Amino acid sequence: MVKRILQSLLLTLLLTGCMNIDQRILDDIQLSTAAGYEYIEDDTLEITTVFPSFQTDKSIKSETITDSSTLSKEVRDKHSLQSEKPFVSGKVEVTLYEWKTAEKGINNLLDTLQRDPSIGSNVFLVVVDGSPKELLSKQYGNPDNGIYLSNLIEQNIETGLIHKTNLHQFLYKLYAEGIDPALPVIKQEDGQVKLTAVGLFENDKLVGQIEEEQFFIFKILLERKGNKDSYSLKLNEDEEISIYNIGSERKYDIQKPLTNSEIIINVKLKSSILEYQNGTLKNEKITYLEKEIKKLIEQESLEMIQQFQEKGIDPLGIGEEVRTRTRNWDQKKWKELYPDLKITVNVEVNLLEKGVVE
Amino acid sequence: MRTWRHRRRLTKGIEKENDKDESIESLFQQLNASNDFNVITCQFEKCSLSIGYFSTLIDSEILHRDVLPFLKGLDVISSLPTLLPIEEVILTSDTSIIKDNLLKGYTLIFDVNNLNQFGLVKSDVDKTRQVSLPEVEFSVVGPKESFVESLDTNINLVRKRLPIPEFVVKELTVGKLSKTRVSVLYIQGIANKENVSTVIQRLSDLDFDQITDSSIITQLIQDNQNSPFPQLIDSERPDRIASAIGEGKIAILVDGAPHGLIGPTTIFEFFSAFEDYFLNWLVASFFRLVRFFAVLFSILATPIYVAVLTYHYELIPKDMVATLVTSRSAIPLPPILEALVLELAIELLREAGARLPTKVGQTIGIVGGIVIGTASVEAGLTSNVLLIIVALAALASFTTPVYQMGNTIRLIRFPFLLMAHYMGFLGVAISFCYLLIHLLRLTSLGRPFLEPFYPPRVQDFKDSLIRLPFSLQSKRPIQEQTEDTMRYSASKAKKNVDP
Repeated sequence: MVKRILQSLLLTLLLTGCMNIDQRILDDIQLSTAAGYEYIEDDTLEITTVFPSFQTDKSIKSETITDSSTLSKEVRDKHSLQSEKPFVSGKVEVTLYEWKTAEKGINNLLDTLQRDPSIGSNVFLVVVDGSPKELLSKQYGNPDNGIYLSNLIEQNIETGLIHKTNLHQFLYKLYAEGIDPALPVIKQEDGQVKLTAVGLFENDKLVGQIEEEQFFIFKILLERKGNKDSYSLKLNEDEEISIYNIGSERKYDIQKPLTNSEIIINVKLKSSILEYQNGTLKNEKITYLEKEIKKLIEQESLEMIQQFQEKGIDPLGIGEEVRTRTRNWDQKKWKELYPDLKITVNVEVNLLEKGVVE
Repeated sequence: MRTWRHRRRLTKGIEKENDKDESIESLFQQLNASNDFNVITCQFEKCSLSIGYFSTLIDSEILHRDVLPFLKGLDVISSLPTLLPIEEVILTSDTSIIKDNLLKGYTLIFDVNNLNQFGLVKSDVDKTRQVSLPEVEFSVVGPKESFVESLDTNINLVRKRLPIPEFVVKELTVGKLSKTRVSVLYIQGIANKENVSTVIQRLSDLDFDQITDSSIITQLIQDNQNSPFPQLIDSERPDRIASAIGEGKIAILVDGAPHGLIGPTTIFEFFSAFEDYFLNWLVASFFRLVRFFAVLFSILATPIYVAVLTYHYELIPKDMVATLVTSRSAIPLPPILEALVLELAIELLREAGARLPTKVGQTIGIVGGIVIGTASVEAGLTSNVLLIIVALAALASFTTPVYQMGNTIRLIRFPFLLMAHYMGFLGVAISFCYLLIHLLRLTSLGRPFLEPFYPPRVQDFKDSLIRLPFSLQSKRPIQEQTEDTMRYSASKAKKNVDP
């Protein structure tokens, strides 16, 4: 008995020889929380890394370190050369890509994020309008910039302003057939970071963007079920209304998949009125408003989809919807069909609430 | 099994030596060596009587009131039982019986001229304490009696609760020096015969010099003596013992021990307080789950802290990184030493508190808890986050209702801690595997210790992690393999419900 216990204990101890685990004691490592990528020359990459410096009065100073090289992990070594503690990448929350860098394609830059087991798949990817180095070198809040930016994006996803996005989603959309990725775009303005647009990708290359006003439309068309977003419309000269999405449901109606027959996107939108500028709301008025809103959303949706079709990108995943309904999916054929496809959007607006006061 | 047989062989040699036929003279010679052994010889009308007794063992009031005045009219020893107003009078000529009973507090009466018959009169002094409140297993609701050091009182406390003829008390004597009376209690027709004979066989095979407490019996007869886990429940509550016997378990009571033992049992029973049965089943189940959580927390909290801080910084939520790093930034020790220092400090406090009288113990608690805790954080030796974790873990380990199990929980934390430092979560997982394998192999009186999880017995979940209402407890646990499986007839009970 004793012999067997000793044997098995010895076995586990010897097993450590097969393991590659290093001690990385929390206060003896430099946690990088964000990394900004920018091509300064054709293949020379400038990487700015953010790391928190914990002050004795419990405040956190956001510090950055910038180096350039051709491989991103080589930069980490260069970083370590000028740091008191070794850099580790396990707590990277956000990676930022400069606009032009994103236009060149970011697949190569993602490789290390995918390969490193200490980096999770819930890292946020963001396109920067401007220089990431400049954006990261300013401190915006009490936490360091990595956590600040990550909170900024997470908060906007949770409250429903932008679509769900992270490394996992990006990679899925990158490799899946019939859908293209989209990433949030941030910009530094007057010492503040602002989420300004959603960048549209064709494969891994940035090709365009949709503006803040279109986020709502983009979201209800992209997500099968959505809620929690608000949208302001200008119905005519002196009639403006703001509505809140209680629950939207999107359904595709595809009669003959992978042919040039019409694709209908049905959206059911249940919403409440947050703000209305023109008089009291009677029941007849509500029906009128429902009609007007429907008209506007349908029109804007169509414009957006046409824009996508012109560019030959499909961030809404229409192709994926077709693929799930097709036995012999052919990506090439779809790519040919897509730009000239007739896509209609059918919106059913239901104003359920008009507020407390009436 | 090997150890049992071995022990038996050893005892035989010694017993032979003791069994030498002694004469009454040599016995007296042996006993006279003690100053508290008295022999008085009196001349009466009809015969001359000698009275021998241990003055420290007998109640002199009984001797003077109930024995001596009646001896005048005595002519032969055989008429003693009819003459004395005392129930227990033994007539014998066997020297060994005389010796045993003299040492139990009997008074020896014999005719100097006739050494063939001896009378033994029970006159022992009753110096046990009163039945008092349970201290270890105190409950707010329910009976407030606890066992005392006298076996007879204890059996009385149990028998009062089981007034049926099927309730059996089998008595054995264990211990070469202490001659301790050990009773095995069970209900015939409910308790499994195999379990009963296992207990009796193990007890009668015991060869040990002194049995001073029931916990010694536990250590000697439990299935795996090298396990840190106790395999028999230790209880000071007669109501708990009685209800366990009713469930088909077997109880052992030891003379001189204010605790009884219950077996066969499962690990989950160690975490159920008897008060659980006095509370509503929802409340009781909640408390039980809290206790299980406390045990897991107590074992795993500090090792996880060490593992995360040493290896897995990725797992720390982003909002907690700052708290952890700033709390540790001034500390020169690696997490493992930091944790060991605090854990050992808490163990020291507990040990010091347990060895000191109650009043001093409280001061120790205050000194240790407040002064050492705060001071070590301020001095930058330990982080305040760890201080909270260790203190909570210690607190959690005190929620275990059975004291012996609480000690085990505190002990097995340390291997986890070392492995966490050595291999991170992998180490914690390996330790957990070892623990699980060990528990899977453990048995209590030959019955699986991890039941109802292994072997999986869905029926027995009704009273393990949670306690379901009594209306769903019509069957006795499978664990005990009882002869009569039904506590009550469920169908009959349903019929009798008011419409």
